[in-house]
Amino acid sequence: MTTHAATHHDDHHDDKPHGFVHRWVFSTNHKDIGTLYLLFSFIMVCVGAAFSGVIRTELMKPGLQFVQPYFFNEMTTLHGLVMIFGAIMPGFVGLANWMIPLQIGAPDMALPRMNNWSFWILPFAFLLLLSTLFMPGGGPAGGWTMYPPLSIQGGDSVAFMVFAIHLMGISSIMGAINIIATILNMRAPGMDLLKMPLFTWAWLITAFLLIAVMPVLAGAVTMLLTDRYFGTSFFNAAGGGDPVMYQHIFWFFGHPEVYIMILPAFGIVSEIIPSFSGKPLFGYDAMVYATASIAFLSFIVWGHHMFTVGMPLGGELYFMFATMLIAIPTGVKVFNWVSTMWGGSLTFEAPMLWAISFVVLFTIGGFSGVMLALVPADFQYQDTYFVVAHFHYVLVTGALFSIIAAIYYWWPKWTGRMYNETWAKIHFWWSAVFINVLFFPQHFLGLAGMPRRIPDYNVAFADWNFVSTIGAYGMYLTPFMMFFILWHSKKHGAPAAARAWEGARGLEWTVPSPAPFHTFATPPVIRNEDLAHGDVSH
Amino acid sequence: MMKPQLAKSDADQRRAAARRTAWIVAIVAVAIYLLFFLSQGLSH
Repeated sequence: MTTHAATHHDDHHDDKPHGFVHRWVFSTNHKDIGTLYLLFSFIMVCVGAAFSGVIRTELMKPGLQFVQPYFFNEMTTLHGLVMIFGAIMPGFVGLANWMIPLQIGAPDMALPRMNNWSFWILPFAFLLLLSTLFMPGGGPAGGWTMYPPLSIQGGDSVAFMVFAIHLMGISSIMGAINIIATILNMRAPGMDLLKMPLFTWAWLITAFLLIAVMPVLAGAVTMLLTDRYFGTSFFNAAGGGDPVMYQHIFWFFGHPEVYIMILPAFGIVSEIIPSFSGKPLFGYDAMVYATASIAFLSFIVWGHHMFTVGMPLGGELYFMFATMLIAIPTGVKVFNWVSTMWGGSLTFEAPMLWAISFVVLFTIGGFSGVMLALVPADFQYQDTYFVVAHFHYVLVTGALFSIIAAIYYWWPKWTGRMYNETWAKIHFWWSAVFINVLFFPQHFLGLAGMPRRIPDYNVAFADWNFVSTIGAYGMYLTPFMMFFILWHSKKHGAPAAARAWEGARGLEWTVPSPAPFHTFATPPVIRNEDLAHGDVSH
Repeated sequence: MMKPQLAKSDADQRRAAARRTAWIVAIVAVAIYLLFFLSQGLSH
């Protein structure tokens, strides 16, 4: 195995700042900031899971069991906000911080101090948001989509929620600016755009999506704030405003947001599957163009979230067919992953298991998405548990599983330690079983007519709700499993080689494991065998 | 085979270019925010 770049003299300087505050609070190092993002994401996964624990426990049996309806609504609202903005997005940004400079041969992110600021805004944003639970009047309870007039009828938690979302948005925009500037300006000589690893490509496109839609969300919630506190009537029909306009603006942000949470996952899976198939990725160029196509289409399909508001038939038909178009580039990706595995010498280490389960289970979420895109069917499915099942297959077995796959894949590079493969496989199979016990019955509940966001329900829905809650309890063990597997690895794991996985390609595997504090201070000489894709002689 | 790029000034140029890119993207983000917020405000 070639590790020529690993011997570069710059890589052996290990001038980590001394002292906890200097190292972590004032950090400008992309690896340390990546670690901070990932730790923050892990904590937020646990907080969001705790909120879902309240939801699933209450729903285990019909009738009000443990909590009052208003608190239940606070839990559904905060579960959504915490998981989307606190867990999934920072998880992907953490991976981007760690891996993009390593994958393109850059010494760090382009704007390291802004990188620090991007991260450290987040804990304060979530302190603001979560502090509302302890205020008179309680936290926001109008759903994570914050539809007016309901969302602005609560207490002063509205102002805290809006300010928290502004902070999260600023953090995301600064992160996206940094990623765009890094990828466009900091690539090593010879690392042309169409030679970049798919993870970096996916993040470049995702960063443009963030720049385009986070300001739109900021505009929408600013209007909520002024409607609530300054007497405006943007969304107040009595004052000449239009509540449906909020839904249009929100979903113009919201649908690209779905792809912000799934395109980096596509990138991760496109890195892992070739590594454990012993073959290069099938159809690299097609994968890049499919990612860009999905990003473009995400801007013109927002209306499918609001078919039942009463839009003209022409609008419904347009949004239905435009939505179905997304199945084409997504299908290209799924078939390319399968084609990469076809005829390969597959090995099934933990990252590969998570990646394959992503392909299968995300596709289930995609299929239910096509069902929801059908206007007549959507009138039946709207606001039922079918929608809940759909987006949890996309965001849990899709986005979250890919983050776990990425952590198992790059952990040896980050820490220089391998983990216990048997336990990692137990973690996978446990999760693969219980996640389906948790979410698959919710399809049946939705088709039978159970509404979402309710603390009580008809006894006809009792059996599958009980099964779903058992699945949730099984899943609550998995963060602890993962924590102990990684903790044990950090303390007692076998040393990892520079190229920890035999089939892994890409510049990140040319530096030693663990990756030194500073890498590529001098741009690396890129050789064909180091590239994940492409040929430097071209 | 390409030679290593050792010149320090090259790194400085890259950082300057990165700052320019960052400013352009940031201005676009602010413009989108103003477009959505003000266009709603001015329409009332």
